[in-house]
Amino acid sequence: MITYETYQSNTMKSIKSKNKESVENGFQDQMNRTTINRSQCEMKVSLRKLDFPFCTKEALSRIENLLATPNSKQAQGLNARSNNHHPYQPPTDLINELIQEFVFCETDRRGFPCKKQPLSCLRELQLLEVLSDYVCSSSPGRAARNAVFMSLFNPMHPDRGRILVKLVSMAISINNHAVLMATAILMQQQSCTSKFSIQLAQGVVNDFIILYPDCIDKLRELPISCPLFCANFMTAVTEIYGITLSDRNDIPQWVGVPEKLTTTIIEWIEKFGPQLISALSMDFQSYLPTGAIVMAAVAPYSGLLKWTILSSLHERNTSAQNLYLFLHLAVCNSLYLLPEKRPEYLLTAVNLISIIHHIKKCVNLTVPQEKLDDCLIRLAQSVQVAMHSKAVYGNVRTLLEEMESLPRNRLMTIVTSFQQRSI
Amino acid sequence: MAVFQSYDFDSNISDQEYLISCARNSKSNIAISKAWLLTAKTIFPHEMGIQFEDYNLEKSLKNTKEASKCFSDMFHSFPEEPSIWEEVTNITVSLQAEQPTPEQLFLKEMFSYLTPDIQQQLLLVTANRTSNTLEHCHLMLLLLRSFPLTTIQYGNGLLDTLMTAEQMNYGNNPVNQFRKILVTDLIPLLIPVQLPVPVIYRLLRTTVEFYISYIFKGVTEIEGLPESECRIENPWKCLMGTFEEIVKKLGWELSSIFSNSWNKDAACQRISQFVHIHGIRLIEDGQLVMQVAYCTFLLFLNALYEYNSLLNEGDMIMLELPVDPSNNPGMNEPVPKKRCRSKVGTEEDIALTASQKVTIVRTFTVAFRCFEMFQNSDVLKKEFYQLIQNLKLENLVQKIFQDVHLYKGMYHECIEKIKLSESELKHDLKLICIHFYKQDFNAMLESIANVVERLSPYSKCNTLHSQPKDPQVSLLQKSPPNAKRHLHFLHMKKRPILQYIAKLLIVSLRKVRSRLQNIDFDLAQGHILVLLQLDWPQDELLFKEIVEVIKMNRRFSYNLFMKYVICTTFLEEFMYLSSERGGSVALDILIPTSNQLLNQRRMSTRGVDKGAKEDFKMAMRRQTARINENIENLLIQFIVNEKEAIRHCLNSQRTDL
Repeated sequence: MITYETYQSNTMKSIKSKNKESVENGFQDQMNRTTINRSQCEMKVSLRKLDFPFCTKEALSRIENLLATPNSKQAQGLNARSNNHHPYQPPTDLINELIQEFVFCETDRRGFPCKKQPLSCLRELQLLEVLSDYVCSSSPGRAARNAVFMSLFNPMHPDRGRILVKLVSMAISINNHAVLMATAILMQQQSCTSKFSIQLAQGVVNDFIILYPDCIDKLRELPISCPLFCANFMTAVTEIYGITLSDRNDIPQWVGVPEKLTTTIIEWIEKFGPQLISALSMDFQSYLPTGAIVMAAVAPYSGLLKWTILSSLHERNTSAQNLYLFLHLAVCNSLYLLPEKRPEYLLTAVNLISIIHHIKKCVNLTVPQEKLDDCLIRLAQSVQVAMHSKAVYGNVRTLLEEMESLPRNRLMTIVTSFQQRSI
Repeated sequence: MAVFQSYDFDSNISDQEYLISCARNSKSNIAISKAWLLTAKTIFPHEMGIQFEDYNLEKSLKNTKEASKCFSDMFHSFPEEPSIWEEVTNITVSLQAEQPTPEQLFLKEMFSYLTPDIQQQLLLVTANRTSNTLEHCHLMLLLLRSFPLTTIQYGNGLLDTLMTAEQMNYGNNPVNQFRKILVTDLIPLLIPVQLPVPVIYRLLRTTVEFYISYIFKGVTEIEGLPESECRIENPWKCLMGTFEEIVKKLGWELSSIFSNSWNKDAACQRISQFVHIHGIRLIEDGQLVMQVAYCTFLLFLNALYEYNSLLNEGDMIMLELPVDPSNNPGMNEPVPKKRCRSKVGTEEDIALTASQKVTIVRTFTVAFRCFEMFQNSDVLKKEFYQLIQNLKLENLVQKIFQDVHLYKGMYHECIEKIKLSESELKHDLKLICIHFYKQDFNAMLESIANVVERLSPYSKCNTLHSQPKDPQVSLLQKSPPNAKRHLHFLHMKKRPILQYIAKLLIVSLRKVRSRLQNIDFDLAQGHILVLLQLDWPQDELLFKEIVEVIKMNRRFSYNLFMKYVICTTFLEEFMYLSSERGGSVALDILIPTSNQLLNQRRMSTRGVDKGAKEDFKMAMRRQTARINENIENLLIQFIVNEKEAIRHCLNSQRTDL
């Protein structure tokens, strides 16, 4: 997978190669580099003259300039030759230094890590305000803002995730579309099922479901505030609960979904299903800086089916089980009524096969027949509806074979033979 | 948790049936049931049973939106399925239900969620499937009302259907259920649609015919409808409203003539102006003729209706009164018909009064002007009588035609219009009036006798006998100054009728008086004296005049005097006349007693018969005691008993002619 990390490492490589080139190009280029180094120092000095949070604001706009492709005449004059062959490479080191020192206060002026608590509560609040204001401002394009945002919350600095969760929770509470959108893009570029995204989702769940359940109404409005964030959040959250599917033989622990979360998700899907799916097929390129590679969106279906199908085997709580039934219906209905505008890959045969593998593992252990039937029926129903809507991508033949190898069940037989005929 | 039925490979049932049974068996949990049905739908998209099960499930959950979606799918996929038609019928019945049951309410709401396309198709197809014309019409109306644009396509067809149905079921009675639908439901929907002119005229005719027949029929009965639906609130307002809408489409200048808060006088004024402006074109331009004819006709009918009801409410009759001679010397005499026609043609010369329900004067005037408007043009006249004939109003216009002719002084035409069907009393009163003005006093007297007989206290017409509050005040209005003729709406009560009769008799007797000789002259004078008592002291001048004549003649003979003269003033005056200071007039007025008859002694104050003089004084004194007698009854007695004596006077005149 190509993520922003790769984008950055690519950048590093290009800088190195550029350095090589500059050696070949001789004296003039050396002169340029010296000029750049001098200007970098001057930038830090001038920023240090400003108090917090003004220095942060200023730093953000400087970072934005550094990330942007220079298109002023002066810049063109400086890099006239190299520009012809290579795309512009931003000064990553400087950007990181600026972020560390002037945004998150992780380092002092000499570049050493701060010994004491880097951010007081008040400063943290001020920082959140500055960040939020920055993302909401309209002057730089959204692509430039997203580029800054991605530099700020780089997964290489996991400790900044805490600030991001706060920023996102705040944005949910005040329906701040811009922040949610920037975060949604960030999650997607990092992959919604990445550790980074899962931690973020967990943070949001903690805030709205566990710590402050009274604020759940704000969470319920999420599809209105930002459908893309909502969809990506769902995808991420399906990784937190339920079961972790693996190829190992042992069956991992089932982690029940908080009922409030299930209810919220059912409501989202029932009311806003088509909007959420449509959001996944928007034009992401325009949200990213030129040259960045768009990461494909991952729909939440795979994770949700894992919950609904496997819950029948593992969930013991009656009221929770009842909720999974409604979630199952909501997911099936949503698959049945897919919007025209939707991403190409909503569900892969591989995802479904891994679910089937897990069922098989359970069959080998002692699972009551009733529970197994229940599980098989939900699987058959889900697959049938998904295939009906042409939402399954991948090797369908293998999928059907896997289904046929499961214990016999009349619906499963009806579905597999129907699908065999349809191929 | 046992949520799903254990798998079942019972091959006796098909896959479809298996899926439906699974959905049905899991109805305790909606989510399970719905998931089964959803799966079933994707596998067997053309299976009616599955969709119907789905529909029934949503219906049982009262999910109007979802149910309407299921229904649309079914209606679309299985247009011929009987079970769907059963449901369609339920829906259309619900839509028309006035007090829907909860189920009907649900269906009604569900219908509202269907796409307009399906709603339209559903109504149209149902309408065309029904064999009941009335139901067909109701469904088509529902369609046109819900989708006004379809009126262009189906409006005319429905119009034809209604007209045919009406013709077949009710023949010539325009007040029937189909006509009501046509006029009250369909026409408002057709108004916004472009229609050919002949069709618009057809709508106009049917509308007028319906409402006018309904209004004038008097009974609230629309054929084919239950009593509860027979009422039309304020039919005039409905008629005028629909009329305006229809003729607007014809571009009639007078279209707004009956708009809200219109009044008869202004409407009449507008029509006259319109006629005046267009003048000669009214003969050539058929549209203009129709415009004037319809507007005037409706105004006329409106006035006519009010006129008839006011006449009935006020229990009145239009009669002509002799004009007060003091206002118009020379005009008092009944004038020959021809002179009357030429001289009294304009309204300014005629005074029209009513002692109660005075609006009747205005109402009559409007009706009269409308009538005149029609009479002024041959084209309009033809149209007018045609309309009356078409609407079968011949009988209803008789009374007003009669009064219009009376008003115009066309007594001959008036007598022709009098129908015997009318209350006999009114009939005779009218005849009295006309005979008087035709100077046929003998016939007048006959009619008077007919009327008076029924006024006597022993007659059956008790309603007439209620006593006026103040019997001293004349209920007959005096004719207004300067009027050349005076017409009055007489209240059909004993006193006003008597007053009217007395007035006519007095005028008749005065008229013939001059040609009578000696004893007959006195007889006429005596009759006048008796009649004058009713309204005394009105006509005091006439009394003085009579006294003067007696004084001049120095004798007066009237053998009915003691029988009918009881007014104290009169008695005092005659006592005075008999005295030496009064001129010692020879009064031959005492009734001969048996003794006197035997002695062949004349009852006279003349001569030196002292005993007779004493007798006279005694008789007069006795007479004054009769002052409290009911003067009305006395007068009735007089006319009934002394008819021949009166005729004697009136007939004398005839021989003179």
